[in-house]
Amino acid sequence: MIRIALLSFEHVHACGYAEVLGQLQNVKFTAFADDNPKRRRAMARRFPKPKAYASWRRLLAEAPCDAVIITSANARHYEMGIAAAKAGKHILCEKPITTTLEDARDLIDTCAAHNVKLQVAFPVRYCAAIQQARNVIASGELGEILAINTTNHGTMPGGWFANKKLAGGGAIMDHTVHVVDLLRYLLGKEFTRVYSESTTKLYPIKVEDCALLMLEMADGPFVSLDASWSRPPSYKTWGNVVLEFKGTKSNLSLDCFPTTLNIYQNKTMRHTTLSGGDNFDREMMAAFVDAIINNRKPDITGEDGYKALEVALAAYQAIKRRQPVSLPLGLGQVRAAN
Amino acid sequence: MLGCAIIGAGFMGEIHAASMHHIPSAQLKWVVDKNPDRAKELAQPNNARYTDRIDPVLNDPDVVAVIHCLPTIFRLDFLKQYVSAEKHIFCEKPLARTLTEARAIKRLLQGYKKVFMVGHVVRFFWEYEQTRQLVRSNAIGTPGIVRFSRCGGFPRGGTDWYGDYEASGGAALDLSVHDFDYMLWTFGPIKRIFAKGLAKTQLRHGDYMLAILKFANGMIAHSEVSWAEPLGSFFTRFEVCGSKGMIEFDSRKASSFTLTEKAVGDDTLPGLVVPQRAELESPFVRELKHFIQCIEQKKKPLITVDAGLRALTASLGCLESIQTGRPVNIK
Repeated sequence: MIRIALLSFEHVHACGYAEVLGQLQNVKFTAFADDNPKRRRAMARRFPKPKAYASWRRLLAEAPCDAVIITSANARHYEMGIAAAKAGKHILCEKPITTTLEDARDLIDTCAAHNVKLQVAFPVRYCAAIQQARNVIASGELGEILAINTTNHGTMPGGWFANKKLAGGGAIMDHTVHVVDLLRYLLGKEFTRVYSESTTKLYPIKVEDCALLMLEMADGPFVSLDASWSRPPSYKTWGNVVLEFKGTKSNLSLDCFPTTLNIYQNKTMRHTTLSGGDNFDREMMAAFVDAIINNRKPDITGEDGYKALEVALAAYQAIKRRQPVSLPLGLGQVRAAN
Repeated sequence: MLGCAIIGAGFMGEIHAASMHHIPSAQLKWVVDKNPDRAKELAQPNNARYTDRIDPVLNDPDVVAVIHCLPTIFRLDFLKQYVSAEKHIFCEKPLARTLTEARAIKRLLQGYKKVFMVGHVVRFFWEYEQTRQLVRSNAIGTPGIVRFSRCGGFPRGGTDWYGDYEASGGAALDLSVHDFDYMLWTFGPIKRIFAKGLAKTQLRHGDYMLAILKFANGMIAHSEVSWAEPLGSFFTRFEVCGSKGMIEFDSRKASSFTLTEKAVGDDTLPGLVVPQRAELESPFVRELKHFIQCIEQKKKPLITVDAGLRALTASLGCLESIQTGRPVNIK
């Protein structure tokens, strides 16, 4: 039995993770912390079994747990992660791993030094279409992959997501890392160059709400990524993750959240859609728990989180310089740009 | 009756010859092609004459307008002759293959009293025109990001000149110029372009480009053009995302008429594919009607030489960015 605590409900994905904890047989959801009293009370009603803490530090000191889920605002991942590692807790960290490469490196090293697992939450990896695509690509069925057109659209999440200090950026920080991780996973190679353009046109916020990235991988392909918060509140769904591959032999189109059901409700006078079937969060959580039980390397490591963050940070640099930026970024280089 | 001549009996020539039937005030008098048999094919249903020489057509006083449908590399020399003969000119897109030639065309047309129009037909597609109106009427607020795709199988036109990258510019020029003209018309000037494409690999029968554009008003845009789809297929799609809503279009989901061929008889490559549409008046007819009306009513056409030049500048900016690996500033 693995005892898991959740350190904050600040991130919208926290609820989804908390839900699947109750669905896994070898897991006990023992405690959660939230320093927002209103949200803490609401979550205590929704999840009555785990003990609710006002302070995550107190939770780490007192609560019986083997592992923690870090779903705070991006900029707080680092201090929670370091403290959890030092307390000997395995960590499932929401993406992006941290908001700076220095913090990411330090967190990875600290987890290694304290012999705890560090997994970054990229649940879309567990999408069946992604798994199937990985096999198809490995088999060479696409031939040489020349280009990839990708989107990770979404609605504007608001709150701390639109606060540069807490989120480390805007739409780029929020939506670059998923697709970057998927492509590294699918193609098994690294990104080498990043260009980006962004704008803030849709909402009265101080971070970018629209962003396009153009990426290059070693020896091709080139990849465009739309990371925009471009879906209006009236849109039929939250957004999407779509990857379209052009190969010399075949093209492949992946829609990780296809429109399975169209729903029309008089109550709301809105058309909404749902994507069917698999719960990626549950698969991801099960894999995390499995890595702990079997003392193996997590499927998605801190290093994967680092590489995804690096692309997002390079995009901000490219915007500032109006030129493509080469990877890997040196740690000092990032500091100079910020 | 307004007499017209079609120069170039290729894919576009055929479309315009068919459109002539739907324009009561205009009549096709001549079809010119270096291949007289091909010219004859297009001429006969219109009771027009055909030839492989341009002089008899330009000397015919009954011909007041020429519809120029030759491959992209044949522009300036022909336009000079049309101007000397004082014909109204409809010129297929793109305006030219190079900026030098396009600028020379612009100089040639300075003070020219006859109509000159570039065939950017996308402006006559209902969904594009309607979207522009919605944007301009503030239906979706201020656009922040737009995405445009134009994707098909490789177009095997007449002499296979599309396969010659130097001649056609590939999809990165030939297809992108459609969407750039529309975007410039709808969203204003482009400031900067960064593009990636297969230009360097020079695939003979395929091309693909992804481009990121920054507009002067701060908006950003994504452009995808493809000759990397299955042969015989073609679709366009777009989305315009604004501060008060968004618009999306996908031709694959908007067809009122879908005819699906089940058996393929031979192994010849399909030619160019025009989207199947069932409309009382096709965008190509509306485009040509506009040209004829401009002649009749002595109006300035919707798509001037300047518009053609601006769209071409953006497409060539993409080719330059692909070559240099750097963003290109558009003046």
